[in-house]
Amino acid sequence: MTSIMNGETEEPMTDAALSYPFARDDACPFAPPAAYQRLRETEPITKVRLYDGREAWMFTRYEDIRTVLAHPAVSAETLAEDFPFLNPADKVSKRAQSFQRWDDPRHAERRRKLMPYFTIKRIERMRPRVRGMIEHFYGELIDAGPPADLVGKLALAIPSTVACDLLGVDYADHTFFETRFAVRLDRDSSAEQVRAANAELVEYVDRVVRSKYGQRNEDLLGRFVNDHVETGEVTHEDAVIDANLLLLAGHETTANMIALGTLALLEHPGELARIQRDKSLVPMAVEELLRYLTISQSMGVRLAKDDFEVSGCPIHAGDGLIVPVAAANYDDSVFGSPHTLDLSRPEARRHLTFGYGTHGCLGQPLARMELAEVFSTIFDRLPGLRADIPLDRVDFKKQAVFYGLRSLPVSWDDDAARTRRAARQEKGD
Amino acid sequence: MRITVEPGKCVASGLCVLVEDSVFDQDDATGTVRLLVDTDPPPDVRENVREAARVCPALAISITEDSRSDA
Repeated sequence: MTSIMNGETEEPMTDAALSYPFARDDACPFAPPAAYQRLRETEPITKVRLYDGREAWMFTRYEDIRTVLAHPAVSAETLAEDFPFLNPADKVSKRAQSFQRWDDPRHAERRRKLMPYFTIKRIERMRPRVRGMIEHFYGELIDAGPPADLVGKLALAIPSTVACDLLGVDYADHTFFETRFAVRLDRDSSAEQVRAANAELVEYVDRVVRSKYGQRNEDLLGRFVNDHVETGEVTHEDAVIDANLLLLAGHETTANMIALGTLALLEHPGELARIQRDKSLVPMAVEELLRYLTISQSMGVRLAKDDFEVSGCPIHAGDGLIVPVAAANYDDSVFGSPHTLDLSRPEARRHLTFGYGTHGCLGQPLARMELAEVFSTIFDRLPGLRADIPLDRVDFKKQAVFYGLRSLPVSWDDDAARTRRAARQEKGD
Repeated sequence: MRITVEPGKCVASGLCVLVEDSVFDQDDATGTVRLLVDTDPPPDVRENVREAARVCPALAISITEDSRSDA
């Protein structure tokens, strides 16, 4: 048996706590680390060891993970002395993450200022505009012709453009912020690299926020400045950190879902054929892809601020808590045959990919809409879409906060190719 | 079936509206949950109402099943 630990050594598993994070299983690039399932069956509440030698509780059952994420004794405050981190860069990155890393009621107060921008009705009103943006990128791909890098030309371009449009950020700057966020989200980055990337991002977003002052704005950041910063409710510094979070969360997550989701569908042609036959299946297919791929690899980390119990196990104030949503999403007591991609799985919406409890993803209605728009059109607009390399050569972001692909060379049947084929068929060869 | 919601707990995930928009809505000004129907929704949407309560990440939806009206 090969080691499931991060290091190269094959430590006996009974010896001490396992090191966390776990490495992903090479055999199936879509599935979460196999260790989650083994632990769920043997020690569903256990201790793992973190990079700094510290131990933390780890939970692998769906209900326990929901309990922890929604518990009032559990804190997301990364500035707390005892907060557990996954590596030095994780510490730098997570300590710079605005109200996402506050507890209620302070967190809820800030979140409520942003919630009206993400209602289902509001997101529905954005749909035609988003459809137009997606169509623009298909058009560019089709004009240039195959082959192309699906990640750069589509998967990242679409959510990046949508986020810029919504927030009021100039898409012309996309390469600048995308590359800096990529450093911040790479678990292999050093603390110094993350600190430097973050400083550049803060300086950039500071300029964006300043540009919103003294005028009536229609975009989200501008409205936020008008309604809450110019009134003195929210400081400029806080607004910059919040804007930074929204820009990050608005592009990188959906980008990984588009890239990885497209690849997963190409690898499951039978499932793909089902949504191609009946597009009304797409919204539930998106939920299943969100569950099956669970791109969040580092997010479920918390601190106990009071004593409490989870399934009879006593947790003490100051204990670190690891709640990997990927483990919850593959709990077979909730999702039957979790390793099967089933695009009409009736319970798919119960996944915890967007988190659970008060810190659940604010932008989830937007992400759902963008993903449904992409997966209901991409295989029509790029007919015969296929990866140009075998699965074992695909560049997966194994060490990223959000799992995904660095690039994916693809081809499709363009008009010229179809004309040539039709001509060949006419000639009878 | 009686449905109650707690807008004060709502985190605006939008899941309830996606699951059953004939029963759940969101307030435009606050983004928080609002009921269109609070008692005895049509039988064919009741399982969706239960699913909305199950998936709500804020535990902001409660359902009281009334055996008489559900019969």
